[in-house]
Amino acid sequence: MPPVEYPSVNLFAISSIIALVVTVLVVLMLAVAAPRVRGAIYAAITLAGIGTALALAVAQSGEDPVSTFSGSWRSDTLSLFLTFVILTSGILAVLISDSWLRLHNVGQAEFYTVLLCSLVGMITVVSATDLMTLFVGIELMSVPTYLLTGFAKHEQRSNEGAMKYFLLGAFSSAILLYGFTWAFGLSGSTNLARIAEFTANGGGDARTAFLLAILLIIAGLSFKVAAVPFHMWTPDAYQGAPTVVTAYMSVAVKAAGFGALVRLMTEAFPGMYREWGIVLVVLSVLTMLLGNVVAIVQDDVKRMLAYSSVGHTGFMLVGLAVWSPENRLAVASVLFYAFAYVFANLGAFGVLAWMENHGGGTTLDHMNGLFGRAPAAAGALAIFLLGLMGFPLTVGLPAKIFLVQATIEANYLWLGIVLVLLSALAAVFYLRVMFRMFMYEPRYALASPSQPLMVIGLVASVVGTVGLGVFFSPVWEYAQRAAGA
Amino acid sequence: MYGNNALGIPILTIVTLLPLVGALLVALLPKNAANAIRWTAIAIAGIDMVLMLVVLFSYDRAGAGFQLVDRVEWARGLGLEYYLGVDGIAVLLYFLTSLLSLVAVVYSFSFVNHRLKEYYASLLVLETGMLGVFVALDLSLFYVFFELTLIPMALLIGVWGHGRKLYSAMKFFLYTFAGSLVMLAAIVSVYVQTSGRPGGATLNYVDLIQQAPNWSYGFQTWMFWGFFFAFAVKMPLFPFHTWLPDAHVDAPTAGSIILAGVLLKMGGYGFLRWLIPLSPEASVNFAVVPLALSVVAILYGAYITLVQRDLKKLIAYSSVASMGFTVLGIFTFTQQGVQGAILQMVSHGLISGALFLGVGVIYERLHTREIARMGGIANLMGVFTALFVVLSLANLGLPGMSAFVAEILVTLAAFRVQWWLAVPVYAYIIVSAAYMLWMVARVFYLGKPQENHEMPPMKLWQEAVPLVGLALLSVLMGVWATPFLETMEPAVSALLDYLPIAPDTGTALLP
Repeated sequence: MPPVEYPSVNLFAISSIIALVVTVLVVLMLAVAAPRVRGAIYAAITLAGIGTALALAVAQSGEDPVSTFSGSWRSDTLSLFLTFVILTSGILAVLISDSWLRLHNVGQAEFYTVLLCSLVGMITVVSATDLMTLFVGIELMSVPTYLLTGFAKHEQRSNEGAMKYFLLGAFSSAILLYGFTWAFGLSGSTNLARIAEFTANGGGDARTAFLLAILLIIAGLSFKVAAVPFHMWTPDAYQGAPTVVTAYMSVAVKAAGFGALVRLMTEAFPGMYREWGIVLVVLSVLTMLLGNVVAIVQDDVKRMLAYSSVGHTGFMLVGLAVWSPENRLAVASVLFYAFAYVFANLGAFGVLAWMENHGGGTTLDHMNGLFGRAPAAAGALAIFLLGLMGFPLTVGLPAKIFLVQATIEANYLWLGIVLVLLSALAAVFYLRVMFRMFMYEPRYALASPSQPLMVIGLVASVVGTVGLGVFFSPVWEYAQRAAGA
Repeated sequence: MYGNNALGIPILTIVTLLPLVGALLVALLPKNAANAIRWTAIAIAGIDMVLMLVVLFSYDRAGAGFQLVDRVEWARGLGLEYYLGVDGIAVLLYFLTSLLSLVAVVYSFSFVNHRLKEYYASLLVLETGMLGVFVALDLSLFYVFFELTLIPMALLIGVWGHGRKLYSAMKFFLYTFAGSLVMLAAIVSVYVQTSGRPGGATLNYVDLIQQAPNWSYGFQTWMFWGFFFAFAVKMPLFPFHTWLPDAHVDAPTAGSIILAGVLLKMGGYGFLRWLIPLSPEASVNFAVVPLALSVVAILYGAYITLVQRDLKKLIAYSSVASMGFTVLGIFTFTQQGVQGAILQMVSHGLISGALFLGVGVIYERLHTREIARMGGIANLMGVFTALFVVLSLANLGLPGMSAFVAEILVTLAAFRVQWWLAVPVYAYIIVSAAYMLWMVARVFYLGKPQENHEMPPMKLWQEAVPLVGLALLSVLMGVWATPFLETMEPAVSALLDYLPIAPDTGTALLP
């Protein structure tokens, strides 16, 4: 009898998610053992857990890529870069969520458990190199985000958003899985590298069928990143979800979704990049156009930001759409954008959450004269909006520049010009908010509960938005290395 | 090659960033310390002006290259630099910026009482942005400063303006932002284009002008149009001028002074500093487009000024025509034309700045800008009337004033290039005389004000001294233009030598 062969396992490569899972257990046990714990203890434990995961990811960053679990998990610079992005948004999300949870007396243990689980899912998504693992990751990411969306359980909108998100999300998962099935059936493997071998020559006889598989996969992932025409859930889910959840979801899920797209497109189907490139170009133009145009007519800033985040998905898709084996900037620009977007977008939603906690609302009228009432909050929101707009000295500018650079590298200059023109259009609705804050007379009063963690989170986001706007080169270099790996 | 710094201290950095520091200082002062805020702002703008004189006097007028250079690597490995320097094209505009900012800050002393802190902080940030535009020699840095002017100006219009101020502020911001985003795409293209160079990618002016002549014609074409819109909107060149009257009419007086005096010049300066050097061949071939548009701007601007009933709008529209001269001069590609264009920018900065200040003087007393509701001011404010009339005459190009020298140079250059290019200019001379004199007659000499308003004499430091000073400078440039022309000559010659045209023929390539 031959000896049993165990697959080689490198636990260090998955140490980040181990740390998160342990934190989940600690949080849950604490909730059972000491249900009356008060204060920021859960937030502290969660932050410690995410911090440990981040430290473990940093510890891996110096090493060579590690492929483990029979080639279904890969820890390389690409996965680590996105892990940083995801964990950073996780930390910021915990910081801004604390005061909302306490003001509304919502279960902290449950909230952080679900949040941590979704982080585990996201890290799995960006590290998976096997369709099965990838799908498990996507579900592990999605189910907790459905729950988070419905977390304000006494609010109708939150429930409605969660339901919509869940139904469409489940639907999209099915489409994605169907695409995976085709890819597996045709290539005979679920491993991305094997599939890449199969598609290297364009798929041979199975070309048409394989294109169908790619289309299904793109459609499925487009739901996750909110690309037109698969964006319908976005405004409702983003508006209905508690604002702190929207802040987290809009950046982290997007980063993970793009991680999956990048992995699949460039590692599983690199041989067919001309075909999927065209599909993504079309999707990106539609997404940029719809997101930025529809955002203009919104009266609720939260919904406006939801549409604008659809627009940003379009910008990021541009980066991936112009990918070719020679174009090293394409993936790097998407990665940098994902990182830049964390600070600006999470920060913008964070300020809205701050206002809601103060008894304010999120409509345009509520923005009137905010600068007179709360200069720091208005200043922070202005910085975030300028960041999203792509204004100099904020991180949005280098992020957009790198995307345009990638389009020029790929001889897609027109796409870059469409991108900058739509960025100019996007300025309309960001400016409207800023004008209201600085130039109108205040209309609503604000209460002033103390929100220490929220303040830390927002200050960190401001520092990220402005700091990366000036000293962007280390991150950009790292993103380029991640794209080259 | 990258220029030197004879002074040994980073004077340009100090002059450029001092207002920004001042803005922070103002922001830190307590809200109700109104006079402390005002005096701090005046002190900062004043010190900046004094330092500006140091720059002006340590500038070697005979030197051709960049002077007083500051150069530090900004983003390691990416080829971006913090690179400041002045040459003959920039130095006068740089000086003008500081001067008009001081005028605007001093003028605001008693007329602005609402949200003071933000007001002065905006003015000072705006000053830094404008100063930076004229000395930044790295495209990335230029872009940063170029955009930095947008927010404070939009705030000045939107918060302290009149009438449809929000609409105007938004329009101003969006027009300029759209134009400059296209420029951004062009800048990124330059970056990608130069990345194959031995020294790595660069956006440094000195490196770029060595590269640009070798670029393919197609790429130069893209450079031309990529930069063209940003500067044409800023200028503003017909048909991109529609934001200008709105912005001017609704801006507060200090905002108008800066807008007309300095902000518009950023467009003309951009043509000379970036657009033409980066597309040497294409800009010679496409020169016909800006030339045609400038002629239209001069004529259209003049005729539409004729029908204005609002004093501020009248001066705003006359700016469209005046700035048309700048574009006309630049794209003749002759020594007189380009020198005349720069002189026109400086001269228009002085004159229109002073005229808008004059409008402010009237507005503060009559609370109207409608010409029909003014009249007979000459009987009430003799000295002011004299000053305003002198400035109006300067604006229509009276010999002995700066605008005359500039316009005659441009017209000569245009005539030498193609005689018919100069024809519309003669029409302009007549029409501009018509609207300026009509305005002067209606406002100052005919009739009397319809409402009984107090007409106190001018405030000495806020109104009289700036007006006299600006008028005197305009006269000085008008009667003794030589030093000004000498200052710009080496830089202009260098630019023209660089272009692929036979010496002294200008845009003779025109059909």
